[in-house]
Amino acid sequence: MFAKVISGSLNGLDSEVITVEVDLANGLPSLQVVGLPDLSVRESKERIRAAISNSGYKFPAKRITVNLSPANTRKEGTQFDLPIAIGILAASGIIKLDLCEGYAFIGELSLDGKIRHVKGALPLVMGLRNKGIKGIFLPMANAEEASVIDRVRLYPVRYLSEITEFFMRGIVIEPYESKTIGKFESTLLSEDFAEVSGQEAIKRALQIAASASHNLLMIGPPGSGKTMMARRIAGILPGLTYEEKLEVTKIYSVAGELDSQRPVISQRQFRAPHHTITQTALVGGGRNPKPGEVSLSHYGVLFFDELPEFNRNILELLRQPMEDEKITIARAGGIVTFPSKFMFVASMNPCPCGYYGDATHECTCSMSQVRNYMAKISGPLFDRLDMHLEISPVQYQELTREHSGRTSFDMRKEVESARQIQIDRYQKETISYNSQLTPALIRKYCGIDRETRDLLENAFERLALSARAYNKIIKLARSIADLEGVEGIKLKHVAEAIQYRSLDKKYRGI
Amino acid sequence: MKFGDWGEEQAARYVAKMGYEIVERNFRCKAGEIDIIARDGRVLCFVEVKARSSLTFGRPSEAITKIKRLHLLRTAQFYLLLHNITESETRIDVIEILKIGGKTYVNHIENALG
Repeated sequence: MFAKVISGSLNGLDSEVITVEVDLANGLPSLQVVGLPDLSVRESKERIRAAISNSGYKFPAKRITVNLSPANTRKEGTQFDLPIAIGILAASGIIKLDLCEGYAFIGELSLDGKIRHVKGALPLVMGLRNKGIKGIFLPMANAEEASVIDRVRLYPVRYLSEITEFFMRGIVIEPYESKTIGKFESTLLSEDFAEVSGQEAIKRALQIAASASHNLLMIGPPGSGKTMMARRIAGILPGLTYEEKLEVTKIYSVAGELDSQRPVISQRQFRAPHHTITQTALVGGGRNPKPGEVSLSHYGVLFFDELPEFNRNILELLRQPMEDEKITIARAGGIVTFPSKFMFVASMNPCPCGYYGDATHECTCSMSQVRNYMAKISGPLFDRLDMHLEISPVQYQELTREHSGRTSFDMRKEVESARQIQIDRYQKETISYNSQLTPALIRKYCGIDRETRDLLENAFERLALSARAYNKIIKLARSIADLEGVEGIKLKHVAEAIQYRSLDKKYRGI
Repeated sequence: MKFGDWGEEQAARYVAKMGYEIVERNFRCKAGEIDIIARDGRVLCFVEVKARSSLTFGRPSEAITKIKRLHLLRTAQFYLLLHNITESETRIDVIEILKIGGKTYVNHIENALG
């Protein structure tokens, strides 16, 4: 008595089809799972036994061997409970085996026969669909998440008995119709830039940064609105495309961050990890690697508040995912690559007391304290920050003035058109926005006139800029021009761009 | 007679009826006990009998734990050593005896540990 049931196993963000083979033989009653099952899979035995008998079926008193094939890859996750249970029911003749053909099963069982939410349902379903499975039984709690993909029928189930009745008594389970597919569109985040009083210059700078995903650092005294503004950046980024949403949702699915309240990710995410974050939580890891914050902020904003508080080794870890836009993790459970294309935003005080350079408060720090504070951020990381924004506290008049600030909606519209200009321009290149420009591409796409060249030369010497800083200024000038919708980079664009780099000298040069 | 002994008696009658030649009953040693040792043609069978009068605690055969299996195996090996049997094919069987509602059910699991 033998049965074969199809299911899937996760490998990073991808999944592979797993055939669950069940054999019933005479001998002492036992249940053995082979094919490199992880602990979570091996433990499934007890759940399956209880779930089958509590669903009103007889658990066969046979020597049961379950094989997860291909048997040479590690299997992790609780989604094998359901296919193993179905395999046992089919092998013992409760379900007719040929009826299950062409269907796949994923789901965790609870002892009473309920089918529970699993991690990574979206990538599992995508993997199965690509292998030509016609229908997939999955937990009701995962149905919405998985329904964002098409060309596959999803049968949402709550109880094990629903499946047996579907096969044996023909009780219909309606294929799941997505409830959010229409709503799988970006809506504005609840936090709006209109709530930020004053700071119009900074808001403009953030808009420039958002238009080309420039990494940025905000330096300012406490209470100047750094965190408040950072939280609103995700809201002015252009809406995600369908493919981007799918990619982000997959990451969240694998990380186990989705539930019925939030079945899909349709907005740019804002992630603000605390400065005590561990290396694993930041870049991902674990025996079977899970995505970290750099991947959870894929296509979104990764915000480090109080940058110098972060351990230096944590900050250094950021360099590679920032550069490569992906992170590869090698662990015992395999080697996986997670995408990490995020916009990095950091904030910090200029000195330990917070008031260095502030007009209204006296700074109580010594010069060496200020220097040490800045030195906590390594030069290479500092270099990767395209923009340095100095923020001064809000003036009283601006604070009490009725809101007349620009709304996130208006800001986003401009950002979207600037982003579109870039996408059109770089169609033939491998990049899609200005912050990704390489020196060769800068020469190709960022021509500047004589007058502007003179200004740059002057700035280069006066501010003692590095070659990298020089390139950053031109990239920024390109973004500023794009935001304005003009093709040629003008003097005023470069002049504005230089402002966003002037901290190089002021703080690092002392 | 205790229920367990009655069960063993039933099992012994059953194997005799199946044409087995009973070699020994209740073989005991330091390693454990074997209820029935019988010859099925060329094969020497070590039979463990489990009898139950209800299914409340599962099937009789489910009561054979890992440790019990180990004991069975060791005892059988000791028996073979003791009688210097090296050539014969051997097998460990389990016979379940179930007595419910005045009826007796016998289930013979051949080569149960294999």
